[in-house]
Amino acid sequence: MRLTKFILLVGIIGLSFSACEKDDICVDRDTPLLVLEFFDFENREIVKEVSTLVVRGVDGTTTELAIIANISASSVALPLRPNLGTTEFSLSQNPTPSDTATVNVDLVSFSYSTTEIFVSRACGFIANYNTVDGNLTIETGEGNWIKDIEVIIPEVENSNETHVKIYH
Amino acid sequence: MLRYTISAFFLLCLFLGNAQEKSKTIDLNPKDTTVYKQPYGLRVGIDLSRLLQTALDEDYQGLEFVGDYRLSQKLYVTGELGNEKKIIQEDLYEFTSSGSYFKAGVDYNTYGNWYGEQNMITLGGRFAVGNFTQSVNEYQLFDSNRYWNAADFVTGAGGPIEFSGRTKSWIEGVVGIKMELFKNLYLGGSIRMGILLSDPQDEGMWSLFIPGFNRVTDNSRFGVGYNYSISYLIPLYKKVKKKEELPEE
Repeated sequence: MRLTKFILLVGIIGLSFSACEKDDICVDRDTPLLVLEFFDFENREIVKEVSTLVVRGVDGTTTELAIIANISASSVALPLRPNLGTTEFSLSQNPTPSDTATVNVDLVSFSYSTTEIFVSRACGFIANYNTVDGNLTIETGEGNWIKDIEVIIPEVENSNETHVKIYH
Repeated sequence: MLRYTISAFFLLCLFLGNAQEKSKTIDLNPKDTTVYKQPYGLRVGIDLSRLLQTALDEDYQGLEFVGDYRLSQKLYVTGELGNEKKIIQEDLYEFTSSGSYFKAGVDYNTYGNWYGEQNMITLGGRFAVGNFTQSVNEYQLFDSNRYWNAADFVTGAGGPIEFSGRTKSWIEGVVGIKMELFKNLYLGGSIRMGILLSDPQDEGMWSLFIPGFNRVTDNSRFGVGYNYSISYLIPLYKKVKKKEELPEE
């Protein structure tokens, strides 16, 4: 029968269409990182590199968390915690890298509110951060190596711009 | 019946001699006077594939009624009315899309039926409208930085989010087939390619599955669907098929 053959053909074509799906890999957007840039406290327009910068997350427990960054750089990008309103980091510098006794650790916490944004089918939802505020834990005695924190862009929507200036 | 017919032939025999005497010339090209009547009416049916998928797939519920009305030898007005609900699990979120749709258009039968056949291979078009609700049941936030949550992604705080009252329209090109299994009972199938007229990238969350239209592909307005229907023709009247003019020899 001509028609039976045609029906079979229609069925096979229909099935082959239903199996076609685009590979779902998220490349569109990502939850942004908070970008810190280091400036000279004396001359606030000049970028100043931090020697032997080590950054760790602090989660309120006594356990020392893994290192996020261990570099000598003028800029560092840090992940915030989307499910909490604050994220704390320990930033340490060592002016004389050969001597571990000269390490100076400062605690910096950021508070923010989280907005959940739908990006695409593959990515689903990501977090953006609003009203970011930086807070330095003041130390007595030896003192802080960080002198001042200034949030210049409180809306964190991408990782390509500097959100926070740190003066030292 | 047969008895009377045969008797009638005998009756005709009486006139045979007469008739031949009266008309001296014999018509070598007699006109074909047989009349071929075809049924016209309303055909209604149901989509079998959606019923089957409802039975087999616990994340799917669907029902579609199909109908058409014959206008002329080859042209039919046709429509579909349906309701679908589908739960889709993506990598980091699960959502439900549910709603109703209506499609209306025409089918043109391209199939040259032999005497007595009522089959169809059709090309057609539809204009369709769907109204639906898309809700996110649970979701996690995508973050390629795995420092704070190395094992899993953070669960979104918003809980179930519902986007209701969405309306989308689209047009469809349809290739279909209908075969008469028994008298007035038809088995059919169709493949459809739809083009969305409305933008599926809604604010809040894109429309990812539109009932009636099927899956929406990222950054594309095209969609593919199909159905397999069983339908019954309610014959309303019969109409004589016009003779096709034979090309002159």
